[in-house]
Amino acid sequence: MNKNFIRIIPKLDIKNGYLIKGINLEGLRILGSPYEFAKFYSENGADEIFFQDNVASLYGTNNLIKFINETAKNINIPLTVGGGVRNLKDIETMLRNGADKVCINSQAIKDPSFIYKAAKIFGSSTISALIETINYNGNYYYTYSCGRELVKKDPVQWSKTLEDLGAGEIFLTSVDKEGLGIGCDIDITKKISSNVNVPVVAHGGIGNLKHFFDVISKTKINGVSASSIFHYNVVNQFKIDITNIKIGNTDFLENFKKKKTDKKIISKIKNYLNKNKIEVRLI
Amino acid sequence: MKKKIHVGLVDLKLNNLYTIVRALEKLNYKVSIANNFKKFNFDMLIVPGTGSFNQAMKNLKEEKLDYKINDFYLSNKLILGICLGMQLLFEKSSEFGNRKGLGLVKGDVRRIPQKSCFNIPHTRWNSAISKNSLLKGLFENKKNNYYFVHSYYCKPKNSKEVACSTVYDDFNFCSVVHKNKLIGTQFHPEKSGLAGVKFFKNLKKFI
Repeated sequence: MNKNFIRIIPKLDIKNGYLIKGINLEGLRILGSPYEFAKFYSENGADEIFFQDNVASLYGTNNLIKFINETAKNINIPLTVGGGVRNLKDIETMLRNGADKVCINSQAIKDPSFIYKAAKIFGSSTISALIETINYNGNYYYTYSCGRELVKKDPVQWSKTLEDLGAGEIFLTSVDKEGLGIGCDIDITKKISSNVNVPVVAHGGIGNLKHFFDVISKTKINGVSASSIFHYNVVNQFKIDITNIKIGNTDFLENFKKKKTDKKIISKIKNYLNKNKIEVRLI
Repeated sequence: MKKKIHVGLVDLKLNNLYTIVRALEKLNYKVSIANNFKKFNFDMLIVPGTGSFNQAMKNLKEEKLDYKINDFYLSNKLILGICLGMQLLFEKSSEFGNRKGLGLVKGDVRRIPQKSCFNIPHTRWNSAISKNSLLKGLFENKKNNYYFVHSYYCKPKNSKEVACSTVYDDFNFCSVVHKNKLIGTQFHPEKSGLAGVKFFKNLKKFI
């Protein structure tokens, strides 16, 4: 069994310059500044940071560059960036501004040969592919543009195609579990992680420590990514001036100030996993 | 004030240079991008990663940087190769066919053998176990955790040049190579948190 050095990866969703969080990739709430969160995670034991621009593929903007640059300034762990990668130039720009890996979904669906071309130049280890799976009436399909567009095909087969094209990692989001905190979709995660040889990162549905253990012990993944469990536990560390925010929903942030949180959440998760015989990096 | 150590960072046009620049500047190094237009009058040269071996060699040759790196090596100044940058120091690589490297270290670059238990690329934090006493002082401990992301590994002909090795399941490979003033790391010190900061700090002793 290959259960050592499982990566624990906080995922930061960005919109209009703010860190946000939604449910099933929808209904986005503002949480604060992405830089502050990324820096905090980097200093407190995260193994990697995943950055996603949630509207990049919808509006074709590439304002993520500024955020990559600002974030990379203050972290010294790997930074993976997803959203809005359309051509080889986009990849080069992201890498030059501080991204270590880029994660591609929409463009791979539109033109699968793009993955091959990108891997040939930047190396497979720099090219990560995102698969957003969705369980629809008992069948698994996949989506793109952050769950907005459905592809009525088998994601397990798609994962193999992406590997054959040269993707060096599969980042797997279960859209129908995302943001609910009810545990990962073990079934599809197991199928996909057994079907490819590249590392697979599971994302979507993590709500407590046991969910980490379950998805790691029951599947062949190499990393786990989550948002809510990290963000909601550390959000009170940062001051954010709500009066200056003109867009988005901030009620949640206001209410959250009253709740009990645990800023040592990453250490807590890692100690729990180590106790349960899953080796992770401790700082 | 003590003069800053001047580092030349080779631009392969393929990868994230920014994180290395930031890591070094925080430790008070002076960093310049080393390209065809510059005189290589640095105290130390870094050949970074990631990227594909073929494309990197092609880009180096186009700007005649392969000659410049070779001259720098002959002047007996420190060269650090990181990830793909380490692999480029070797004679050849089997990535996308067979391609010649810079040939500063005898040996070749091979694909990590596929077994059912391996994930390739090897993308994770892993330990580098130090063997070579000549590099004592570069590593904090005998065993340090660093971030790796690679599908190929270096195999030096001379086993004495293996300064650190790393175990990936039951596969053992050279994670740090050391020859004269040349050091190559398969891991990324610039992305390895505090362990990486200490690595770059200690590197000053080897200039």
